[in-house]
Amino acid sequence: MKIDSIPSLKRAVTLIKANKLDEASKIIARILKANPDDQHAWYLLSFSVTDTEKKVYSLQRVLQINPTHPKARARLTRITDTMGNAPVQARLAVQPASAHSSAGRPAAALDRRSLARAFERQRARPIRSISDVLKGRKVSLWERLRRRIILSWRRSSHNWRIFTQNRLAVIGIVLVFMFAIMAIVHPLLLKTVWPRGIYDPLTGFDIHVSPHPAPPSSAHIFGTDTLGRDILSMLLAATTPTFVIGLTAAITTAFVGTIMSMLAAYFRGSIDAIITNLADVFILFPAPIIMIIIGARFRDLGPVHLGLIYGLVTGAGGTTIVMRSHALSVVSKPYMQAAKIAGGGAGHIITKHLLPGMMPLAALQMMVAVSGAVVADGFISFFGITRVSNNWGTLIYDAFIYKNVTGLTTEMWQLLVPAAMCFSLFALGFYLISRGLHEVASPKIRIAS
Amino acid sequence: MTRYLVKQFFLSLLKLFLFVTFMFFFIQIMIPGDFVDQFSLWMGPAERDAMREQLGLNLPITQRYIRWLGQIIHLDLGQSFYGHDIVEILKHAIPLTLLVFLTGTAIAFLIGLWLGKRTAWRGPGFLSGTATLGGITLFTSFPPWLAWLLAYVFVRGRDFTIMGEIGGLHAAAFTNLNDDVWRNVLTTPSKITSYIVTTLIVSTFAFLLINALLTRFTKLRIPTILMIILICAGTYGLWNYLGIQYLALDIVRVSWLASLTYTLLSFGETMIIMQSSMTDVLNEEYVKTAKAKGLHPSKVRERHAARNALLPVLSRLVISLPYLITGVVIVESSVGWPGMGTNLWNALYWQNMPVVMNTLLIVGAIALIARLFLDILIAYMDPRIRHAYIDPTQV
Repeated sequence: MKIDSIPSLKRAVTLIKANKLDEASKIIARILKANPDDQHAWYLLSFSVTDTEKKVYSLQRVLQINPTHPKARARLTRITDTMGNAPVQARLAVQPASAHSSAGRPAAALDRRSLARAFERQRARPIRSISDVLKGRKVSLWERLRRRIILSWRRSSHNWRIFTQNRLAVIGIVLVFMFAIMAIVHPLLLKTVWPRGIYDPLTGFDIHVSPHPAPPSSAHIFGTDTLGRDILSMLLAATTPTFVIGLTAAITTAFVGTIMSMLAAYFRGSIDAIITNLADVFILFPAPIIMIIIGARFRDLGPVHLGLIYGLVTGAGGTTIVMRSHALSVVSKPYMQAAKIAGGGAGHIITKHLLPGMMPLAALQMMVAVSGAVVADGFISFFGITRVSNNWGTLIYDAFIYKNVTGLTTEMWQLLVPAAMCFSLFALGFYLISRGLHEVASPKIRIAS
Repeated sequence: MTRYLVKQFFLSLLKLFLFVTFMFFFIQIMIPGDFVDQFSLWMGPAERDAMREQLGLNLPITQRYIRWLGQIIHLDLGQSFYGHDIVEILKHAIPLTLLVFLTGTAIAFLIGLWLGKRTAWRGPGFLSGTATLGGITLFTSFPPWLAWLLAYVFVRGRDFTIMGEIGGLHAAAFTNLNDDVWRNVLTTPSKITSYIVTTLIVSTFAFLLINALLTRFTKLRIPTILMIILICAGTYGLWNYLGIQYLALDIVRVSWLASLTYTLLSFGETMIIMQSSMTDVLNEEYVKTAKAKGLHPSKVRERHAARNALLPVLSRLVISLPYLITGVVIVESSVGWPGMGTNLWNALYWQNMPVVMNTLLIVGAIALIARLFLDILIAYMDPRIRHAYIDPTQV
């Protein structure tokens, strides 16, 4: 035991006596984080937590460290006696619902590794448990649904906890939320505060301001552009199409990539060879250029179409390659072998066993695709090649040609900076989220953190 | 290892063929109208048919495809819609693109590796968080904006063309070379650029070889920073020897902006891949053993962890290579650097499809060649492949 943990332990004891259990738990958690093998801290923890199961767990830890701890053994038997004579594990199996649903913050901070193991154990629990089957108990549809919801809630809350441990991912979530608010707010503003004639993103014009472009003022927060349109309104109006492009591209990429990679990894052989080599070919096609060429053929492509094209090109290319190597590692896992031996067909195994393992990576690839698609689309409209009329790329383009058109020496900062910032932050937000998902998706890193 | 490399070579030939085929049919089906439709509006229908006959455009698409394949094999890529020889255009543009691509990728790779290594070693914290966030921010920032910002900060008022004049009918050209240097010079800037690229490669390989020999015989190795300085000095020496140092320096003066933009845009990805690879490696038992036996931390980091973390990064880079080359195309047209990217955008703008097709062909070929080099490097560095325990194409 470390010397400096004694005062903290004493504080914890006084807190427990004063019945301030949460604070005591926090202090003990800190001690345990520094020294996971502190038997006194584990013993105290069994007093500071309220949940029976956690009490049992911490006492078991004490006994692991010091099997001759007399008080701990006595307390453990007392607790298990009050729980009924069934051993702890069996109890877990009978009553899955109430056990961990109240898992609060202090428990999360306790010992991540052991907690993660506990969660893993529960995740592996099937919807229709073995004890149900053996005892011939019939599980009603409602009960099964309830268990499924509880399990998925538990899994997602666990993943969420891992996700939020990455600060950058939280920044990403905040950024994306900001843009979502921007997208929602624009039509509301146009309906209520902003008169359409002045603030319409395409045709608005303010006759009270001259000359255009005007610098920022109270009426126009970012000023106006060369045609007298309000820049803030244009920025806000461009948010929705950007979301549409990004999300379409993301869904398409994930859909194509997941299916291709699962087929390749499950069937191997010639199918694998064809899919991999085709993916290597597809990766050579630059997505923005394909978007332009198709755009030249079919005029007036909307955001959905552009997103679709981007998603197809990258999904069949890079995404398939990345996801295939992950799918291979899932296929080689023991439970896949077990499913095959149990006689599961290809369709069943792919949808029920392989697909869930691919989901986190698919989500990651979706987020990466959003960043890529948005930048590609903005790049095309930056060069004025597509016909999307209002877009952050178009705004930057306008800001750049402003100097050429007017022959002035000043830059159009009020248009340039917000548009470029919107662009970069939008792509950044989704990419940061993908970093958080990366930690959820890769178990190696999860254990490390 | 040889068997594996030969296999990779033939596979990449096959991929190039498939790529060419897809692209040909895609573009032929996608573009509305052909050369005759677009540029001989004053002709009557009979004359148009005669012209199609003369150019071979009346043939069915399969025959045109076979003709085009024949042209590629004979390295005669035909003419653009404006009567320029495409081979000439590409000869002008390829060295310029290669210069930006090679220098940018090398620097970005070094920076990315170093930062990824350090941030993973430090673990989560303020410094590594800032570095990661900075790398990702640069990686996801809008390329034309970043290029413009760099130009605004560094070379304002010095007459740099940013976002080159889109819509030029002819091949893009340098606009801001120093006329005093180039007066009475017979060679073209792109020729000098190809010399620059060649000398850089030669000098890099020479010093790498020296380093390898030194390590082999004396167990010493040249530090990376000294290595970079030596390579630069060696390249300059070669320029002096060839007598092109002023011309080359003038081109470097113009090109550094493109290289810098490209480096800043692309080092983030390497950094992130290296970071996660290094984090994986740091959990391995052998790193714990190395620490436990009391090795100096820097030795554990460099010898035990970083060296093993490098392999996944290289194999991951194989996937992102084509994206890197697309990145060069985008950066070039943002900076106004007259390489293949700017040519490609001009050609797209004017629907100059022969140029688009052939430029894409070259971009694809460069990506495949770079990938082949990377395969060789991986095969050299990974003892499992070197001794033919595994075949990476089968894993």
